[in-house]
Amino acid sequence: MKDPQGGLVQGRVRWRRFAALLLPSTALAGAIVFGMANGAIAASFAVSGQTFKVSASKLDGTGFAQYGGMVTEKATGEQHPVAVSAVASAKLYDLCQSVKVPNMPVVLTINAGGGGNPATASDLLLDVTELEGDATFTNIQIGRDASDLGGQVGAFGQRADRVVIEDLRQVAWSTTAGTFTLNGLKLKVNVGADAKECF
Amino acid sequence: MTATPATPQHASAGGFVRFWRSFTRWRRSRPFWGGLFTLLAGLEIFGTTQMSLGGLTFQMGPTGFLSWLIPTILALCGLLMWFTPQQRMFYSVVGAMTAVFSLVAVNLGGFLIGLLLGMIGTALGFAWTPVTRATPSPEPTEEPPAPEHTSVDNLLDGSPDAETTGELPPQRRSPHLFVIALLLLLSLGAAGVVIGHGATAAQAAPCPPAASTPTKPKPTPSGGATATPAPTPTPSPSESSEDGGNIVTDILDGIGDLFGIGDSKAEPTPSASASPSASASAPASPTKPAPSCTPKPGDSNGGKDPAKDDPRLKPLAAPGDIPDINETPSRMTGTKLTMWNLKFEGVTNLPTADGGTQKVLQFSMTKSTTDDFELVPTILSGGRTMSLKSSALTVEGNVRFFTPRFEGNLLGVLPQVYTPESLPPLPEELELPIPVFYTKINVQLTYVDCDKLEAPDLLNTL
Repeated sequence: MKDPQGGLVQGRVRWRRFAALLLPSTALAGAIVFGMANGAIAASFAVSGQTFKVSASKLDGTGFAQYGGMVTEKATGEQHPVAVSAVASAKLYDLCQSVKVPNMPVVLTINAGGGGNPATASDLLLDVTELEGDATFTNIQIGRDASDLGGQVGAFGQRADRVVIEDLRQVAWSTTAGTFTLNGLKLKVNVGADAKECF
Repeated sequence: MTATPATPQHASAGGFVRFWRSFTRWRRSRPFWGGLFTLLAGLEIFGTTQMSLGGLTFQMGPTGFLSWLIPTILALCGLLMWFTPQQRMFYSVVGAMTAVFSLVAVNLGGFLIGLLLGMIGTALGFAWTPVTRATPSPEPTEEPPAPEHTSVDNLLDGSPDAETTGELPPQRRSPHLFVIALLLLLSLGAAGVVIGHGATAAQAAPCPPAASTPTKPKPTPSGGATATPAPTPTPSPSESSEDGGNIVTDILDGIGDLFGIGDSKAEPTPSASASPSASASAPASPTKPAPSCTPKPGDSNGGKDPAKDDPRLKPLAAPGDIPDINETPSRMTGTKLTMWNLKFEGVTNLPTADGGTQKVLQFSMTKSTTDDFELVPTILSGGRTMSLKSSALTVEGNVRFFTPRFEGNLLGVLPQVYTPESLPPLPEELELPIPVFYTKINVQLTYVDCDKLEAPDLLNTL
């Protein structure tokens, strides 16, 4: 800064002022983190570029749709076919997501929705390569044209009003959720050759 | 405060020393560290949106617009703190709000690192005050000939190198500033909560098939080398105030964008899932076309042809509540298929998305089970298929089943092949009172719907 005479004005930090801005912003950030961990504040969420595993003791969702799609691996540009699975609104009990960092003995896991308090997600979209579980669908339509659901014209699609999958296990290339409330969120980084994935 | 321009003993030093001294002078005349941390916060948060661990990307927060906007605002605030330090208060508060908001919006605030950098940087910028050196005149108590915009900053709180001893004002000022900052941040927090709730409320509508997201959100914004936000380096103060306005409107735009996303996603597509029970009975009479039949030109043509060939091939109007079907029938296999209350409804034409039709046999039943079920549908052009397996698939309640070719061993012994040209030996409209089963089934499945489908040990692979 310059003073009226054009000379540079030097300055210093005054720590009381520093606290005047830092304290409220810290308090607010803390409140948001607390709110997220307790499911009060929804975040949206996306993982992609690498297969990862998702498991849940139960998925209870409405507005299910499934059709084919392709994902492009970012690093190599390789294309992989996937089954795009969409759930408009889902409750996920004992959710676990794990990602193995390529070429490293590191596994990131995210746990949420434990203790009977499910994580909830809306507009959940999964690019699945493998899905396992005991499934029950309500008002299902199998063999629709996928273009009505978001896929290619002429390709296979199916939809159901409600889906319940117990002991869900899936391998996916990407997951996105419009909003995700992660009750009891736990982020873990497991290092070591025997670092555990969700399954 | 030693690096004043007039220190001649270093004049002979190298260019680097001269550069360093002028840099130090530059650095001390603005909230350098505040600006630097805020700038780094922006870069770090942006970095996490582009981050890739061997191709792995992880993102939390609305993708796309906000993942650009928030880092840009932070980086810009940092740079502007350097280049127009007069406006540092504004940049600091805007930057602090943005940093806190990034926690919700972008990757948990760049996995907390960007958030912390931003909070510290903006607080440093906020706390930086010019020390008005009471130039030659050593009058400590009265020294405010500084311009108005720095008068706030002249309320020093007893610093060693400050020539003033204005102890009281800062003590009053600090709580004042504290309250302002607190109010601003609380309003931001309230907005954040409103956004969160608004989004959930907008998306909590129960009716929406997930299909209502026709465009699949790309998880990673296509970045590029041009990613680093490069704001104009030296805006004049008047420009910067305009920039500030834009930043605020940008934030509002961002919030509006959030709502917009929520709205568009919550919009339910008109799905054809009107109560299937009611509609299943509608097409029961083959002679009367259901009034709600989709009036496709190909439909009527294709529908009349088989009637000429064979009196038994009365064209059944496609049930009006059936959506466009996929082009290639899926292959369904199983070791044993058992059907309860099976009824052959006739031959019908189902519409496809390209305006054509497919001639298929229509069956209905109350329940069926398939042991060692596998369905192989074509999910992409080029014949790419997937597989859906279940140990014992059960469908129940208003089951409608459309197939152009059904092959299996009736009651385990009689090989049968049913097509629209070779009809099943069942009178139309007759409901079999006893369950009937086929073994080693191989069915071209066009479309099925039912009230309930249970698939234990479902395995979906590609």
